[in-house]
Amino acid sequence: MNRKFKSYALNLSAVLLIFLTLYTLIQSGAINKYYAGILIMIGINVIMTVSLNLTTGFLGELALGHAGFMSVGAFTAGIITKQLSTSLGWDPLACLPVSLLAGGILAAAMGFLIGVPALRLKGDYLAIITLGFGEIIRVILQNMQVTGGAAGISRVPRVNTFPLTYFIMIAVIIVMFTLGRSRHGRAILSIRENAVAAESTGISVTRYKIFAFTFAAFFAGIAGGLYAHQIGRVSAATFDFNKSIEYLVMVVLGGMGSITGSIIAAAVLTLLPELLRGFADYRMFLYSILLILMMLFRPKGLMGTAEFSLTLVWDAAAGFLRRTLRIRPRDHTPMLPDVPRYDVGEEAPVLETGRLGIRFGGLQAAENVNLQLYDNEIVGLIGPNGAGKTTVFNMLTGVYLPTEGDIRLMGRSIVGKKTYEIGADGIARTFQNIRLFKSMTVLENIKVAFHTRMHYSAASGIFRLPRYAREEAGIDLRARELLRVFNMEESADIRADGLPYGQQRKLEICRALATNPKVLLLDEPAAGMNPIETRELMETIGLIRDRFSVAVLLIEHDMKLVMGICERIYVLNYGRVIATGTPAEIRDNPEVVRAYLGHSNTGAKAEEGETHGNA
Amino acid sequence: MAMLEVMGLNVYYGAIHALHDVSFQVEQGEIVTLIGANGAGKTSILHAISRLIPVKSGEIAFSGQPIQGADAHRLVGMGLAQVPEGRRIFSQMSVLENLEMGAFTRRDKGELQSDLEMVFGHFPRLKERVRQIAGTLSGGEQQMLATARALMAHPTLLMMDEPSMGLSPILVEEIFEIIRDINREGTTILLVEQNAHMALSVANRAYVLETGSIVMEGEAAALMDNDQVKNAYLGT
Amino acid sequence: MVLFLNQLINGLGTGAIYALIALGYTMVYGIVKLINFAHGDIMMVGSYAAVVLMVNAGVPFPVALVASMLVCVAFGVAIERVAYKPLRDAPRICSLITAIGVSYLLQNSAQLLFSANPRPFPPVFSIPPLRIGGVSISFVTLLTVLVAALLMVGLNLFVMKSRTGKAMRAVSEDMGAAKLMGVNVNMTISTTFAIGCALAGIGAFLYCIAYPSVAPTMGAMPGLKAFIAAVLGGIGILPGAMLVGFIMGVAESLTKGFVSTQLSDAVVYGILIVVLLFKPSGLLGRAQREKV
Repeated sequence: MNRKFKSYALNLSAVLLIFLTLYTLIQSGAINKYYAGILIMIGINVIMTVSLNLTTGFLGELALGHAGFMSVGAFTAGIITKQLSTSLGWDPLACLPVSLLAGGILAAAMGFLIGVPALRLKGDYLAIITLGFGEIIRVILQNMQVTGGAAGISRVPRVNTFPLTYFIMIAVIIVMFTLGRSRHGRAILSIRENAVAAESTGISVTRYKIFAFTFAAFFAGIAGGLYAHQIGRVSAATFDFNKSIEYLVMVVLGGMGSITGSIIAAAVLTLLPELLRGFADYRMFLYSILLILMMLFRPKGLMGTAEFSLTLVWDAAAGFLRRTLRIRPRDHTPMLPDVPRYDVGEEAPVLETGRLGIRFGGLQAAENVNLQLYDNEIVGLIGPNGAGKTTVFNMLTGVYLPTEGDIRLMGRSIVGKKTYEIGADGIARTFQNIRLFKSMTVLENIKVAFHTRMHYSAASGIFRLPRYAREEAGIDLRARELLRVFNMEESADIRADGLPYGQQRKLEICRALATNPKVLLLDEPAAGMNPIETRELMETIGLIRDRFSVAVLLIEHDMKLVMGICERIYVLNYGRVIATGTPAEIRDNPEVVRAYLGHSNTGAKAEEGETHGNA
Repeated sequence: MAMLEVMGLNVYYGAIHALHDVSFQVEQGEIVTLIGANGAGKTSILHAISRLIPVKSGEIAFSGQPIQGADAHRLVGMGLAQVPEGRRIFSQMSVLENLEMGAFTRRDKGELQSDLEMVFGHFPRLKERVRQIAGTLSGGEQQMLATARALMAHPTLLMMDEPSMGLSPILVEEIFEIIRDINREGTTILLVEQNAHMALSVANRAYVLETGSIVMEGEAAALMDNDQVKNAYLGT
Repeated sequence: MVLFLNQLINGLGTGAIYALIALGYTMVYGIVKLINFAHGDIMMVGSYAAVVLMVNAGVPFPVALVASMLVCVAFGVAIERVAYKPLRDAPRICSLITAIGVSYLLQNSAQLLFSANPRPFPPVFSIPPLRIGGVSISFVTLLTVLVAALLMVGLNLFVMKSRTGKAMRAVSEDMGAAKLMGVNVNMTISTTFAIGCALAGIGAFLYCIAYPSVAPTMGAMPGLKAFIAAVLGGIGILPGAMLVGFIMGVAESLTKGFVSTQLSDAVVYGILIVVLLFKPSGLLGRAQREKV
């Protein structure tokens, strides 16, 4: 606690010290007006870079039109201040809060507009949409009357000051830090790491993409507003594709996902042209060489994804405010995540499919599949490669929309629901090829899965309201508890991709369980495991049955595992169920032997296989 | 002279020492298997031989010729082919194009047709799907295609990485039957497998790998009866 | 009607140039998955080479064409070796930033060498435009459309059928597996860059004949349009890139003729967004969903 307090104090005093030093130097004239202007531009560029880092670094989508949002903010704020001060006679300084906020909000609206097509697109296609929007914004601004056409607007009251820019910058940085560490930030990160897995743990990828785009655009709009009041003139041509690229370069050079890196890169790259003034002709030439060398020798940027711990500043400030305003310390007892009350009828199946089928073009991939899963049951789904087992999983989780039949989860149809809705409704899964949030820690991987069972808002997360602290403390407890059950507590703080293979499989299962599912689908969990690792896996699955109230449906080719732990087995061939029954019945079923097991796995031989450990 | 001779192989991934002084040989006509847990370094050995990852120190000789300095793409022409883990077929290309890629370095194009017949003999199912886009094949068919593709290079030594992964029991049997056939027809095989039971039952000799070092070696049949191996890799 | 046809033909001419540059872009983009922001600048390099050869050295046009194509190839291959190859295993955004760096480097080197003032490109053909009724079709337009179409067909055949083409496709899917097949990956990628840059060299000539002025930043705009055409056509799909190149040229020209000159770029980007909303993997791209 003492150490924590020390670093609070350290960070807070650093922020204030930097401010006071620079402010005194500016006031005393030691830093002349010109250089003070550069300092302010650094502040504005830091806001731009940090906000772009949200979409590009945190969400992982390449955005090529960030300057477009800045221009929306600049024009909006500039015009509002001009109008209010000339026609209503307001003091320009008093207009600032209104105009900056309006600029941010309008830019955010544009960000939202761009986020909506992001629904369907990813990667380079999304990148090019952002480029297109950025350019459209520019062309439209250049052709509108109110924005002054090609000439743009001028004589915006130049009322921006160093303290204003500095403290807005600090606020934006802190918001980015706190957002990044809230459940919403975790959701955004998990999309970057693995969108498919994020969706399956109940996170709406679409909603968070839009959220990130909108949020980033808001801050870019604010930066634009500051810019307008700093320079006094705004012309749309300034905010072209090259300007967007400039900010992208700052983000990458600083390190994708590192806010500290963004700050440093924005500062250095804003200063650099000034430092190279002596070599005016060679300035861009040197800059381009620097860029290439930097990427060749430090491809992860200055900071990689590392950070200085600045969140603490906010905590300190909040604590200070609470004390001075004498806000009664609120209840900080951990608030445990929701436990959904599942309404499972006696003797009724938890999950049931009726005549389920799907066609892909001319191919009937699954047909007339009738499955029933009961609580606390482990059921196998086996069949030859290409028989449609994973297709069935994909229909159950809403990845594919079945063309025939029904899926009922606890009596209610889930056909047509989105993957993330089904994830939140109580079906969790693992994947054939492990899909972890690789660069997040083991503990964070689990915490992502608690997302749908927490309720604090983005604002609570950003402003660190008591609700945030209580819920986060609650899931921390629960997540560690879960890891303890599976003997993984000691690995809590290492990166997921640093785990050995078998542990990665186990973590994926843990993560699935953290969503508190009623049905757990395991897709070839033993693939690539040797018999010893498989035996551990069997113990893990046994543990799930004993400790959690969940029905497990398991796809697997390892017959020792399937025959050893499943109570019932469905056999799929060419998309149809050809047999169902207990392991013993399946082993002796001649059709299953012919299509799937092969003769060395039949009856007596399979018994022998069990004792000899043959797979 | 051994067909493949590996001596004192050391491989690093960044700061991690992945292979420690690994030495082993494969003689002409043999099936040799490397068994061990996940992460023991089996795939690293194959990748080091194929020059897909850099080797820190050690010697690798193929038919008496040192190859640790050779370019990866020259090895196929020398008779060294690999069926990589996870198949890694060219999923956007047709089955036929995949097979043609297997014969990429060969100049005797006249024999292409007879080679195709040869691999279709082993894998009749591929013949039916010769125009199909490889990515639409089932897992078992993809494994067959990956094996057939490597055979198209006429290798004298075929390295196979986890050929049974993700296959149904009947296909596992089938693929091991084909491994035996290929070996009978004169191709030497170096096999990496999780399914130690199957691997030991087809192999002549075996090496056991633990955290990057070879800890045991011997006749496959003898290792199958070894208590330590039984305990650690056969699950009995 | 006549105005419409004239604008349409103008648009086809511009579109053919976009298409030609986009073909080279798509080759590199499809096979190396690199957004080569410097591609337009390679075209600029080719244009300067042509001007210097024809004006300063008095080299005849066909020789200058071949020579400037070779200059483009040399630049492209060298840039790949020095700047892109070391980043093959790094995240894609690193090579993107490097490409931006290379683009700036080429532009600013040209500016230092030749100054920012544009240099005129000497007239090459003096063939009068073809007139049908009030519609005039310039020789250059015809030539550009023809060259673009021929190159597209030829390249597509090359990539689909030839040994090197198959190696390129194999490399684009899985570099490691291609190595295991005995493909010389470095060589294949160099070849890809060489072909892409040779196309930029041809594009440079046709561009300069249509817009006879050579400047350090001349490659930026066509480069950006070619990038859009390459993505919008479907990544790595040559006919797609060509088709979109033509569509963009025509859309631009018609907007300039009938709506407003200032808005023409907005219309192009608007088309881009609409197309991607309905065809999220590009115009001719196959919808590919991640296999779960």
